[in-house]
Amino acid sequence: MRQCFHRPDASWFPEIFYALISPRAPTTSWVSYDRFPSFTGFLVLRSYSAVPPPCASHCNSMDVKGLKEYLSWLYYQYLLVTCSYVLEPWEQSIFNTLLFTMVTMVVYTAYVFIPIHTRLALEFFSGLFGGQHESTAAFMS
Amino acid sequence: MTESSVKKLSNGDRCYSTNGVKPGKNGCVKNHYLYKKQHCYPEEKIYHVEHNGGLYKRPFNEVFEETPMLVAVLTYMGYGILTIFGYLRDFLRKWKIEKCQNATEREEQKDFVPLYQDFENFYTRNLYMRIRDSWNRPICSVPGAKFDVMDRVSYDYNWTFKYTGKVVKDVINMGSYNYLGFAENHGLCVDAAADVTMKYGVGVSSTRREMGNLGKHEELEKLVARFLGVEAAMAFGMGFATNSMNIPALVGKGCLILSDELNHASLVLGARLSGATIRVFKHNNMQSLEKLLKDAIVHGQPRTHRPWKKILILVEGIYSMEGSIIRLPEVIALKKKYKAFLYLDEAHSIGALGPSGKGVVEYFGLDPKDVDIMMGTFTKSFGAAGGYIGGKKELIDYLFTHSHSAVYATSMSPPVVEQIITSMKCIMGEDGTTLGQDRIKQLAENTRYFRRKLQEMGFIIYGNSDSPVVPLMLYMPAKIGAFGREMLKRNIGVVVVGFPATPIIESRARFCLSAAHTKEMLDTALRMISEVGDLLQLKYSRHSLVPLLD
Repeated sequence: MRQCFHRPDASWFPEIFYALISPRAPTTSWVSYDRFPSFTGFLVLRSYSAVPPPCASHCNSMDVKGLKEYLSWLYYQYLLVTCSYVLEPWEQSIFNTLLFTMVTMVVYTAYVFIPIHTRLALEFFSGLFGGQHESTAAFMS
Repeated sequence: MTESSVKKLSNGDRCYSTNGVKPGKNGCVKNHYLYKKQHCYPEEKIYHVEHNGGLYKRPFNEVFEETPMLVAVLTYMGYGILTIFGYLRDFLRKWKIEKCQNATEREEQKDFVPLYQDFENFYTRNLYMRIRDSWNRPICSVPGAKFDVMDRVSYDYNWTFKYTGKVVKDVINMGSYNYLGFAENHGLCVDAAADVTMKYGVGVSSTRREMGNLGKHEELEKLVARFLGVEAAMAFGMGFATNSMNIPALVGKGCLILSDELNHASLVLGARLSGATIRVFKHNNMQSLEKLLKDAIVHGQPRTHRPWKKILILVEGIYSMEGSIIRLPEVIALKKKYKAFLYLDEAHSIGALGPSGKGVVEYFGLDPKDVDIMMGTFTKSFGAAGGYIGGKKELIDYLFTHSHSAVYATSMSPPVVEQIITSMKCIMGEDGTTLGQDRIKQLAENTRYFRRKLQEMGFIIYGNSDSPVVPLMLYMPAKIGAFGREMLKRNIGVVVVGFPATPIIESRARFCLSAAHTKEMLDTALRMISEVGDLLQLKYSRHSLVPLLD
């Protein structure tokens, strides 16, 4: 990224969590398709901050804004790639919920089972090579 | 033939052989006693000649970059998600949980073969409807280089539209087939058409064979024949009808049609209506065509093995969805070798290619008499409507009596005829100005500039580098709708195309360049396209071009 932004703190996390569950769409009508913040603003930000500004006191607010723009652009990319962009809001909610559930289950399974499997695999292979070493040593002597 | 070769050498021109003999290393023909190596200037080495024996006088750059694997996988995944949601919505509609707003059969027709349940209608209901606002946009001005679009909104996700009353003005037009800029409402052509309307009226109220044959029609046909360099020509009121009604008059049962994979619907319809056997060769692939021709000559008709009565090759000059140009020298060489007939549909290439706008035959420097049937339309480069067929006098006389379109269709309207006559004379330079030549040059420059810039930016562009039709690949279905909308927000009107006009993962945006576009308009358009390309991540190309200094 062209801007210098600090490591994100946890204050943005609930916002992203909310964004994943329900898309930010106007609930009244399909009046304009500009449901997302103006991305031209984001690109202008990118162009004039080709040289990273010195991180003064104002840098914090601009970085958070730039970060928010970047994240909403990432969310836009996610919508385009998974074709949620063309779905109606209730369909998007269903899709996001299903996807989030599956991702949570994958992460949980990884968290629970990978250490155990890794430990067992290491024991198996070390037992294999260790046993081989002992048998060759016995053969030699 | 030897004298002409020597003359060409002394002019410092490229050395190529005119008799198809394979040339040697530096482009000179071996074993030809008048060629001496020192006459071939080394900097004029032709690198493309070895492939086809000297048929091409200029480089033929056509590239179709392969779809990146990740993009293809994601596109299929996107279509999969949409299919699942499509089934869900169909289920809700069937069980009346949701109101059904599209066309369905009535209760009495339920026992017949369904009209609305195959995949294309599934696709129409569940994808096309969601992004339908990018198509059929009503415009309210002449579709020149800039036009006005009526603003509309939809409150029920594109099932119905309402007009807000506002008009979006001065939208740059990158979608109209306006190659030479004759779609205008001021100027010489318009004044001439207005005068003719005052004299002849607008309706003709008859067919050509009854009372509808005006002097203007005869004048038009003579002019078209002179423009193309053929013996005679005939004009029809509708380009689609020219193809679909005249191919059945030319071929019938017992004939063979060899048609390109990506031919237009009118050619396909005409071929099917004729009743002849149709075989399809791969797009622009001369090896495939030659194999089919050889099989046809060797084996003859399917069961009886009798020779085919006629073999007709159907090709187009420029293919509008790919932007590719037909390899005409090779097709003509094959046609002569195997004694087949050639039907060339120059709908997009007439007026747009060639140093004086006479189409793809002139672009390659070939003889118009080699093409048996030259067909084209007046819609694209001449700013009018209708189609023509040009060829030998016997052919045209035959078509005049046997073609459905000539016998039954109403003849062309006089102001349209006058528009064609004036614009054709302008292109040929016979109206006394250099306007036609300027426009042709402007179109060629615009084409080169636009294509080059888009490729430098990193988009995947299909087609020949000389064709004014520029398809830009989008691939993912959500990006089709997003591209159309974002470009309109930035005041540029584009045409986006998806299935079924293209293969399902290869959806694209198609730009049609025009001589009416100035460099500033093209620069604005390019800037906006680059912006939207960054926003939607469309710059898929893995080739990198060194930017030229111009």
